[in-house]
Amino acid sequence: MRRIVICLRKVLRVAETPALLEVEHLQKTFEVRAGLRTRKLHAVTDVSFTVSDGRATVIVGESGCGKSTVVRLIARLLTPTGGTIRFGGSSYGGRLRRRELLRLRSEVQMIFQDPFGSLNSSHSIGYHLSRPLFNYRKCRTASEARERALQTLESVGLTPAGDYIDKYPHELSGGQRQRVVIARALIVEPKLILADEPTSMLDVSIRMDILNLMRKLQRERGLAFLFITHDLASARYIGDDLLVMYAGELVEGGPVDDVVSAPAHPYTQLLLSAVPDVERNTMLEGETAPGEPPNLSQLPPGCRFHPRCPLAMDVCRKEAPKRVQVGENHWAACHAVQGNPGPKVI
Amino acid sequence: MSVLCEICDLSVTYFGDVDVKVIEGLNMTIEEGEILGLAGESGCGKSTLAMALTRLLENGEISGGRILFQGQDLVRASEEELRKIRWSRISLVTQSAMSSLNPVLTIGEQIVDAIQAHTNTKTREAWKRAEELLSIVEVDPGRVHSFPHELSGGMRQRVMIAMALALQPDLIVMDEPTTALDVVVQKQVIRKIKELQAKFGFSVLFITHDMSLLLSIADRIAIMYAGRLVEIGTCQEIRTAPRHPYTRGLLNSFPSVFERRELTGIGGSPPSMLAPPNGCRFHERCTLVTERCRTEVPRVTNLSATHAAHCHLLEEGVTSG
Repeated sequence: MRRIVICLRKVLRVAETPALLEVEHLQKTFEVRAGLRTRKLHAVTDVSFTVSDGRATVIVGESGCGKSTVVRLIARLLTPTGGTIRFGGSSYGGRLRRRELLRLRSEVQMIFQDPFGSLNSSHSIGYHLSRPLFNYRKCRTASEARERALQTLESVGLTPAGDYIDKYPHELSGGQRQRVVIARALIVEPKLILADEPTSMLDVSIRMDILNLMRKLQRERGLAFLFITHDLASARYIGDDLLVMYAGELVEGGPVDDVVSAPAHPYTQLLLSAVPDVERNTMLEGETAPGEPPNLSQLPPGCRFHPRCPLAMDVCRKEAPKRVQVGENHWAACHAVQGNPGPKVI
Repeated sequence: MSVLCEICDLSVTYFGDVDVKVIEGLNMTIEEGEILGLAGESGCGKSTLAMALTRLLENGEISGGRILFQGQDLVRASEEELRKIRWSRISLVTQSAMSSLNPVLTIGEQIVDAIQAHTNTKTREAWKRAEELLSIVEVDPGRVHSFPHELSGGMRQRVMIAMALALQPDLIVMDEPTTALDVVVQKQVIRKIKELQAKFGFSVLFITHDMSLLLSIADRIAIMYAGRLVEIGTCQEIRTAPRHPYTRGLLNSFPSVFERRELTGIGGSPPSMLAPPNGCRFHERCTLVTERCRTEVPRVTNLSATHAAHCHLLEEGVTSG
């Protein structure tokens, strides 16, 4: 009997390959001092999703929706107020010891938005790249670190790498700096890269270069990427899976093509109708929802989108909607969406 | 349509340790009642053009050329003449409403101040006008007594547009008016601009780096690169038949939400304006570069009554792509 159980367990484990990153009911509340009072700002409330190995997942949303907070929580630059983060089978929920933090960060690396602010102007490019190698005990000698730095610079297109390694950040253009930032994330050979608006500070003609580079690296190395952006067009360009965030919650998720071609949640539909596009001129047509996203200190009850939603019903004002399956791996959290309530989806 | 503003051979120089010529030999017209889009990357001189048009340049000077606005040369206009033109005939909306609005005055006080600085209007009438302007841009007129920080980003930008409209100008220069806004609010603001423009008939010079936005809203589009105009044409011409390699590259830098296609962007990065390249300024990044491009500045080639580009390949009659 016991053998059968063990056997069954093994089979089941193979059948459901665990996701690389599992985030469940993630929460972050900030306390903001306003004069003598403190008020609570609910930046992230109940966010659950998974990132599979080798896939690029994009979280899209407007400024202030909490998307940057989500990646900062996963990178553990912030401590979650609640919920669990599981990465590669280990849990990184509450307070972490230094050793745990080092282990997490050697596998999860981050690319920041501002290539001017994320490099230290008094250190050379070589120094920036060797630091993580020593910090995460990935190499012992300076010559080995330099060798790996040269290789990584080549792989991000800074060739010949010998010309760049001894330069300082101010000698490089914005696009080159962002390549250095990407190289710094790659050098420790992480499994997951978190990228927070990696192209929004760059000149428009350089953005595609960086997007193409990241897509190439992601595919060649089989990396998992979690991108944060406000730009649906670049989300479509780079992503496999799309998650739409509104006021601290995820409202829709699924394969990017499905979400874009058949958006189920009214907010996703609103976003798509407002995007200026080089191919289609939809911007001046259709309805615009009135108002703006809610204040995160005074969230509306029920569905957070209901004050702006053209389909709002009584139930939307009272009850938070549950996720409803609308297609294969495609779900939306909306009372108005008719789907199969089916299996629990995260 | 008749010409509202004609910019002839305009050059602007910033003074510093090294003098930098940020705009060189720019020729462009703004027609009555149109939205002229001006696109280009950061540092190409597009915001400098906005400042030159309103004669608000700081640390810089118009070093050549003319700006004929309704027949009057703004370059030679005196401060007193400019005071009469600004706001009542040309107004400006900038990117950051938060830094353009005074944080210690209510928005009503600021609108009234603007009206009274440029016209002889009684205080009570000016306040009435302020409320009226707010309702035009769909901000609750009761907000005249609000301070800028009490408004959301979209509302502040609408207040800026209301202020620009205060004296019913003929031209509104909008320098990245929606860049700081989210797409949904951007759509609201853009539609408001379009609606007001149809109603009042003013012209707009709309400056942005976002080609996808310009293609959606502009009547004509001008493209600048490193201080020079490279191409100008109707929205349709730029969208379907861009002729300058830079324009093509720029269009190739904006992915579409609705169609997945491979894009290449443009290799290299924009040149430093401290030492701009000789010849065609785009030659270092151009895939079709010839020997001539490195030494000779390309002249304008007229491709249609409305479409013109500055490229040697077009002068020679070589049609590529």
